[in-house]
Amino acid sequence: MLMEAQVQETLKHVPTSPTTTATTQSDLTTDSTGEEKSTPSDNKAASVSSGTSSATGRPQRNLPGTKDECLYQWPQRPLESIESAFALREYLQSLIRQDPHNVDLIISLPSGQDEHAWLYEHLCQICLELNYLIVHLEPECTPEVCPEMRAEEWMYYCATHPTPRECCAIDYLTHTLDGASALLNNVKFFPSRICVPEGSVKNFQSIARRLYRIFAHAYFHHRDIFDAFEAETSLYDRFLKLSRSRKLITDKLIIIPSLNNDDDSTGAGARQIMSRSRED
Amino acid sequence: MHQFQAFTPQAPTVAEYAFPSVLQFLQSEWRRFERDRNEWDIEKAEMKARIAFLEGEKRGVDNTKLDLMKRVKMLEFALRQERSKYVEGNQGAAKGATGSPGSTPLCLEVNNNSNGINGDAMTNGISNNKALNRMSTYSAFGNNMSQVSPTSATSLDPAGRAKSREFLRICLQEISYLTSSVPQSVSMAMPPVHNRLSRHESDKRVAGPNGIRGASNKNRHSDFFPANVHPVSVPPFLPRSNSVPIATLQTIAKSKAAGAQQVQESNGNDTDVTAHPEDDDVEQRTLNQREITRQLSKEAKPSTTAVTLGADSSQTDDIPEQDTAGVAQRTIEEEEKGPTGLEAFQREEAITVVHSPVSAEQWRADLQKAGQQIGQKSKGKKAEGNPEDEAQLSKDVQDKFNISPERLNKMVKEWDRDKLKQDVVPVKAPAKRKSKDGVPDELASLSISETDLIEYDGSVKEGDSNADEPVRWRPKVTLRRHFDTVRSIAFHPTHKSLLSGSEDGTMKYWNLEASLKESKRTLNGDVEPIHTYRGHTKAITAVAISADQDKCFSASMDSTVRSWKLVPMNKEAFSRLDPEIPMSSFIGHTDTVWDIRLFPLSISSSQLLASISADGALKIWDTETKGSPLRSSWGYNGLEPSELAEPTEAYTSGLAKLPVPTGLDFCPTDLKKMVVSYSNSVIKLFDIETGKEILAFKSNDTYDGTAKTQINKIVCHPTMPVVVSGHEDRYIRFFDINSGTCSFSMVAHLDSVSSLDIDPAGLVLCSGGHDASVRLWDIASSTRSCLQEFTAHRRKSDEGVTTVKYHPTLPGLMATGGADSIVKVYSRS
Repeated sequence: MLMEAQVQETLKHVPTSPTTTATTQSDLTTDSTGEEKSTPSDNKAASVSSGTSSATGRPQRNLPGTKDECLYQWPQRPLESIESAFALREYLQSLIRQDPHNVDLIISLPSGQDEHAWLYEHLCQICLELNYLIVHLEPECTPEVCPEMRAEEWMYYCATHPTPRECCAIDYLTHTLDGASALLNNVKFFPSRICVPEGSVKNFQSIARRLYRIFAHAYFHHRDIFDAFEAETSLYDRFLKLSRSRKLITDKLIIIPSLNNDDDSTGAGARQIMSRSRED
Repeated sequence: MHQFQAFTPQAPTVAEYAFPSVLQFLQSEWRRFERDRNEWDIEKAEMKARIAFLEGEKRGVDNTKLDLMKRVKMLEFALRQERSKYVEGNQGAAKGATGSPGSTPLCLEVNNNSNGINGDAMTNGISNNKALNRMSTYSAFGNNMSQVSPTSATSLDPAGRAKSREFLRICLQEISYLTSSVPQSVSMAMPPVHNRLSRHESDKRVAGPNGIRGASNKNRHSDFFPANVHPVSVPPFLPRSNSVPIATLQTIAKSKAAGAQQVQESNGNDTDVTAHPEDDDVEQRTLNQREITRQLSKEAKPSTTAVTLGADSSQTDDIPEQDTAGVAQRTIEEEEKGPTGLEAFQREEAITVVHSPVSAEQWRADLQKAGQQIGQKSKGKKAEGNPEDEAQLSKDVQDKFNISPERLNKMVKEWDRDKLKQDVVPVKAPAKRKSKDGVPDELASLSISETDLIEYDGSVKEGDSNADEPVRWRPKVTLRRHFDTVRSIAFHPTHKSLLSGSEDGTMKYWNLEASLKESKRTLNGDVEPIHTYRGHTKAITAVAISADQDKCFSASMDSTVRSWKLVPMNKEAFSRLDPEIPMSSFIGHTDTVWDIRLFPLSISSSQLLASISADGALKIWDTETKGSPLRSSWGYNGLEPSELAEPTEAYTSGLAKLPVPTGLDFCPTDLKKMVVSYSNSVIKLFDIETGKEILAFKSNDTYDGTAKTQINKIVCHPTMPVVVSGHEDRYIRFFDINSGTCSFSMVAHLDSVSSLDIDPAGLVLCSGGHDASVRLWDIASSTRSCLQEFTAHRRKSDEGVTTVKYHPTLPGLMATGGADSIVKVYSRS
């Protein structure tokens, strides 16, 4: 491990060239006298231009003190050149950071990669981002406002408990998310990030099914939040396309009407008479 | 295949060597070679690793050896100081009551107690001149116990001194006669050190916070510490006693360990002494004196606390309880004249050389002997001894004698020289028999001192134990629930629970009570967080826990700092959401908040929180105030007059162009100050109240104008005025807070240093780097050797270990967080 790290070290430091950090930081530091040298836009321009010139020069990390506009300002690396054990995740995250709305590119399987591993990373990332949706929902979706977990006419029982319970919506959302994170982080089911054991693949469906309800609740009961969040992240769009293309969710479970006009089949299963669905 | 067969007959020469078979043979040969080569490669790699490991181990052992030598030297020095102090007693005794016959048995007793290190010499009836003199000091001490008056010490004249010396000699002859008749076992049982210890205690009271005593003694010890032993300047007395007038970390820690030894020895020997049935007289006396000590220890408290304030006082208070015997009278004496310590110094100055110095070599032999005895006895008692107490105690020792690192080094050098001389010196004591020839002696003394010391403070200091039985951190629990890089960890100050903040925007609170108990449940243990705090809209960068307020805090890239109610430890994993958990958010920063730090003390439940942000500002918040919690805010140049009013837009934007803070810490040694590191690699010391810059450290040696050389993390030493910085260019540096100068610098990791923490005892520095490794550094030694190195986390996007944290109060608990979204908790085995 040590030797390996050394090799990485040398690899990383050989092609050092004056990079983003060099320029921005010198801007920050040289003018302690108050002399103005650059504007933030200059910084940005510098970072963009140098980004291409130094594909491997600058370590890809956010150092303490990094400004907002410089966070994650490192160039998109091709998947093959990412050496870490989290190559897929890094690649996925960089795709999302680059353009969260380019859903098709984001969900398309990189060539030569394991389908399930890719799916796994996607689900992790969706769980991660759903946290933020819940953060947005929290002030509005209180136990008083949403005492039951509902989405349209459906009502859901919280399956994270030994016996499914009628949790209020916000509890359901957080429990579901916590449960999903517990499952996805469980080394028994997902011991490796490179391949997913055959037996664990079926978990994707149950995770996706439950995560879908978070979207559904937000959509039917907190529409404005849902829309704002969607405009920012395209998370639902990504989730839906991913789930459908990988057959994680059957069409009849999809109750949110299609957001885009190009897809009409979505609402098909949504018209159901009020009934209760028990968690498996 | 077919073609080949068709081809073979035409091959004129070798019918039996068919082409395919040749090919096959070659292939198999080649395969075999490949296989072999693989094996060789593997073997080679293994060997290399082994060599590296052994080399590292050797270095470690060497360092340990040096450390221990230093410690031994220091103890010797301390002992000598003590002895010289008895000379005062000697004077008093000579004046007060010359030749009081009743004092003799007492002298014997004291001798047994306090001089146990030389006990073997005495029991064997070997009384050379030096030993005689040495003993004379002790017997005089015994004498003065009852009779000395503080005033008598002030008047000194050479004649009286000569007289008293004569008297003491007579005394000593008596003693040596008597001691030689005491059974070996008794003298063995006599605690050799706890008088030393208690003497340190009492002595400390006199010496107070300054080190003049140490300096004034130099003439007397010129044989041992020649010429260049110079007085160390005395820095102002800081609010907390921990702010030792330091020399450096190293020495203090050294003495800590030494103190630890003493405590343990005294612990171990207390029981031995009192339980010993063979000599009723001695036993009785000892008990009596212990009684006195107990009483006195109460008296002693005020003066003790004068030196050690705050939390430490409680620790020191414990120590007198453990002390026994001889101190008692000593303490009275010292108590009486305690406040006028100067008087004592003057008195000491008047004395030149009263006892002829003992050769260092003999000392060593004696120490060895004593060490062996103690070692045998206290083997079973290793575990006892609160490290805090020990640390405090040893610090006191260090403090009192003011032994600077240079001096220690001097001592070690001296020792080396002595070793060379050894062959010439006539062998007197039987204890020295094994040290007749140079090399075996070195080994003998080494092995003894090492094993002894290791046994005593193995629980305190990992470095020593490495040499003997390795005390290493091992992963105990793995917490995997985060979806992205774990950025920060905070332990609950008292409970076995921790908080982790991650780039996934959540903060999770973990109860480790159960999982740490289960010994089998190591890496695969699936621990569920008791609560997930959601509220930030971007990645969390830092977390903190305030136990007094039952709150926790988080800083985030969304520019806010939030406070939360700390959920109870027994909360169910999937319970109803408590709407009162999110408490408030501190809004004011305009850019990513990179770190927060709670003020080390909370005064009447109001605690300050400092935060630094990429907007260039450092802000201090009052965590209790409702309404506007912001107390003050300042930038790179400190609080400027314009900031007193509402900061203007222009000012704020100007601030953002100045160097940006990258790390901060409060100074536990001086609570009015805090240190902040900036992106130009400069560390600045600020006054918290006024926001004025006090000092800018010379910390930008390797700064090249880019973030590649910036400081990522700074921490203050818990007890010393020292700041440690972790740099992006792989350096770890140590700075003196008072002067701002760099005292030590080292390349510590293969990649940048991302995180630092110092263990509560202040002996070990833990660093995490983006090379994914965690390293433990023995900051007690001058070489800052690496005690342990392990790969803790996997790298993700050029990040490895992102945070390391010791439990602030429970020893043997540590946690690291990494870019692999995992938190690992370690315990010491």
